[in-house]
Amino acid sequence: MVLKIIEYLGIVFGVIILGLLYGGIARKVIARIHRRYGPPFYQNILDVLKLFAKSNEASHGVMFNLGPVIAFTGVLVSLFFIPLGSFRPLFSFEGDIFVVFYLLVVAPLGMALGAGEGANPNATIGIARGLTLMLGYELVFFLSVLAPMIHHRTASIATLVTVQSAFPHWNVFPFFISAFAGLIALHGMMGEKPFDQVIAPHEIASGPMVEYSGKFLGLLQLYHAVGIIVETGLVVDIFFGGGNWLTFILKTFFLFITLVIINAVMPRFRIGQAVKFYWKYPLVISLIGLLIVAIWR
Amino acid sequence: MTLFYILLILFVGGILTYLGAKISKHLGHAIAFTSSTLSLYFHSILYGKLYGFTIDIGLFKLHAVAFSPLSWLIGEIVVVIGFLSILASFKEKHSDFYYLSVQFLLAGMLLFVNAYDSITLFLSLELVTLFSFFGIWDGRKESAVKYLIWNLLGAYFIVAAIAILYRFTGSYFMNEVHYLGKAQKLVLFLLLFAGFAVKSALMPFHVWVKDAYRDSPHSFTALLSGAVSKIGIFGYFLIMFYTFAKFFIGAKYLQLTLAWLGGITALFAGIYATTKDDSKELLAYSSISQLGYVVAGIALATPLSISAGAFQFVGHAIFETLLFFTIASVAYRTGTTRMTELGGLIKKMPVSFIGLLFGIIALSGIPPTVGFPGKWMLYESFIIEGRILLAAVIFTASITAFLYSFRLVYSIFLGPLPSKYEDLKEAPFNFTFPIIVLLIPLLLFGVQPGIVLYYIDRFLSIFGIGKIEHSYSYIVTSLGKFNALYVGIVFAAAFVFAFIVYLLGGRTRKVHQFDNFTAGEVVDESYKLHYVDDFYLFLEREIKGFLKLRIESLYDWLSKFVDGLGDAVRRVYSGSHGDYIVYLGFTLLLLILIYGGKLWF
Repeated sequence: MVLKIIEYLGIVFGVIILGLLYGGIARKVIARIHRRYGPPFYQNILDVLKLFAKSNEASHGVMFNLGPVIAFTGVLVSLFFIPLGSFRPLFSFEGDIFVVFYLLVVAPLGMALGAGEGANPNATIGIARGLTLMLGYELVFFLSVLAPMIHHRTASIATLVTVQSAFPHWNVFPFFISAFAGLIALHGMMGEKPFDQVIAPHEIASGPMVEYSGKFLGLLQLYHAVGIIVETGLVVDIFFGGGNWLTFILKTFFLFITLVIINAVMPRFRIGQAVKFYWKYPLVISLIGLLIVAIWR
Repeated sequence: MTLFYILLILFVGGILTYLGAKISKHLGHAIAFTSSTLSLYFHSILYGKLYGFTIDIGLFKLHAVAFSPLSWLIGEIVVVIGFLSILASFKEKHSDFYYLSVQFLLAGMLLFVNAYDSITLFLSLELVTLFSFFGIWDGRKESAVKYLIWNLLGAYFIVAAIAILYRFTGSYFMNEVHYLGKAQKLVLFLLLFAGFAVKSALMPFHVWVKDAYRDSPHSFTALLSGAVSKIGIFGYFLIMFYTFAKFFIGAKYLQLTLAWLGGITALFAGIYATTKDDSKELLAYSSISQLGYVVAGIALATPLSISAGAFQFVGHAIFETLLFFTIASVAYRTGTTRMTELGGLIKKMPVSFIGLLFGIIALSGIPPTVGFPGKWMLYESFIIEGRILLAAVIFTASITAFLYSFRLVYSIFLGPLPSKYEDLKEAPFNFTFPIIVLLIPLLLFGVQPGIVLYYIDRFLSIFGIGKIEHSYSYIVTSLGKFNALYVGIVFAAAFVFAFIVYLLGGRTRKVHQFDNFTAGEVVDESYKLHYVDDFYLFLEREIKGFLKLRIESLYDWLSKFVDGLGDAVRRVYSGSHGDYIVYLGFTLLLLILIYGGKLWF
């Protein structure tokens, strides 16, 4: 029991470090694309340590303080219901895709509540945009994930990973149309450009994060780090065959860096355009993918 | 006979409350409190028993039997919410007649869920309609009239169906009908369904809800949404799986049509809810939307989807009531339900905030609350049945729930506090007590959904529909598995971990609400920093065309048409003798033209 708990704690720390490193490397990659030198790849770890060391930070009330805590809780809970490479948390068999779908909402909700009490209109505009964007990408993601789910007749992520264990059985090959739509949805879910209306530093001063500093911002950084692993990991598990711990890390890393490279060269949609984009193209693509599965079945 | 005594307590209690309130307001309150407590107690001890009664009232007999396990479940929901609503309404201003109508309404609902013959069914339905009308009347009269007109329309459907049923079968019992043709069964079924659809506010019969919920007394709205809407749902269960069971289970296209009606209700009402400025209007549409899930679930008629629908309506009874009570407590202190006039109340009314927070978490269906297991079973059942587009529609509807529920919690409790609410206090015990009471089942049924599923299972097995695999904490479908207890435990553990990480950081200091980033601008009260007006303007802009399409405009057109027709007919009676003589002449001429010479011989 104690060993199990230690193992879980180790996994959590590992995922946090991994997520922070991914973020740092992404900064470096973006900098090189922009012809800058960029920070060192471990910069994000230093940032978090610095933020937690700060004191006397401004607080707007209880919910403001708890917001980042709930956000961090949300991604940690989702982490336990997703198979991470060869490491299969006990609970990954006890919940399925729909559970993870709803657990993934906890984190943005926590951040939204905390930012709401900050009483800064920039933050609320950011959240309202985020929720509206959700109306775009969530449905696309849902529909594209349905394709392998219906084909294999299971909603359990662990089972989906098992059926595509060997290389040529990856879901991405038979369901490449759905996978494509799913990747566009993932791009919006991660808030990379052109879907970064929530943060939009030049318009609304980092949106929900505008009032946060010190350890609150540190917690949000941790939330973001774990969120990277959870979201890319979910897609890797469903479409790219999971794998053992090494291939899992490699796959999530390449997936993430691909998104980051697209992010580095893209401008930003207006929020209405972004939602409309999702309703126009990826939605249709994901429906075509589903239709093919329905005919093929 | 216990059920009969409960009804007697409520009826006598209602009349005594009215008379007692004439002497002293507190005496009336005491009687209403006693009778609702007694009815709650006596109904709760009926748990797991078979009960019912028959009384002869001369012309016919009234039969009330708890023939379905859902009868007790909905009855219990009714008495609990009725008790809480009466408790909260003591603090509000009401006429003496209000308490009588609430107690009669409770009695009517209890009779309805146990009604065994169609006379009792119709009688109790009319009791419910009439006394909820008086309840809304206490708030605003126009909305009450609107409510009454729509519900009378529903009653006409039902009484027509009952009359036809009697004509064909010669029996007043709601037993299964065997010897009717398919077309006759379909017509009767649709008539009854439409009648109950008015009660449960299924589109396109939802028009009365917005006004009735907004304008009824605040604690009464909780009863309307939590309990009275369940009457319609119980009616669906009655006709789908009892009276027309064989017909309905076989009718695939009918099931699909009704399920789509539910799905479209869920989606459209969800979108409308995001555009509302009044918190009670928003919740009214959210209530319609959530009941759309229920209809979509039970109409699909597989064991899993029925369980999903049934679980969802229990959840709806809990969280929607909770939300309306929190709005009631806010409205009691501030005197308004308009979200644009509120803000920052978290610092003044923490208990109400916690109630609203958990209410919206359950409403959006986030585990481990009561809102999730129902939604999860609904998705699984749709996908097992291959109804993917329906699943997508319901999923989109549940995303709109995130949108409007965040708007609700932000506009009222978060954001800057207006200076006029500086010395606001938490709502009195009468409001906070229902909130705290309802939080218990909200979390308990979220981690132990088996408690509710036990009843649903018994219902499924008694009516021979099938069964689902579950225990107290997990549910298994052919697609996947969901263990609510584990989710709850992981949640608690992860929160503790995140909180420890939070404590690792440095100390914080409390700052004023205007001490925030404004890009160098100095702000004070004169700047409106509360982002509440046109919250989702950018979304509304994209769906402008859709928002213009409203069923109300069709009804308006219909009412204008009838109005115009009546006006044209009225013009005939001009009041001048000359005109009437001309009419007479024309009529005679017409008769001569038609009958020719025949008239003269």
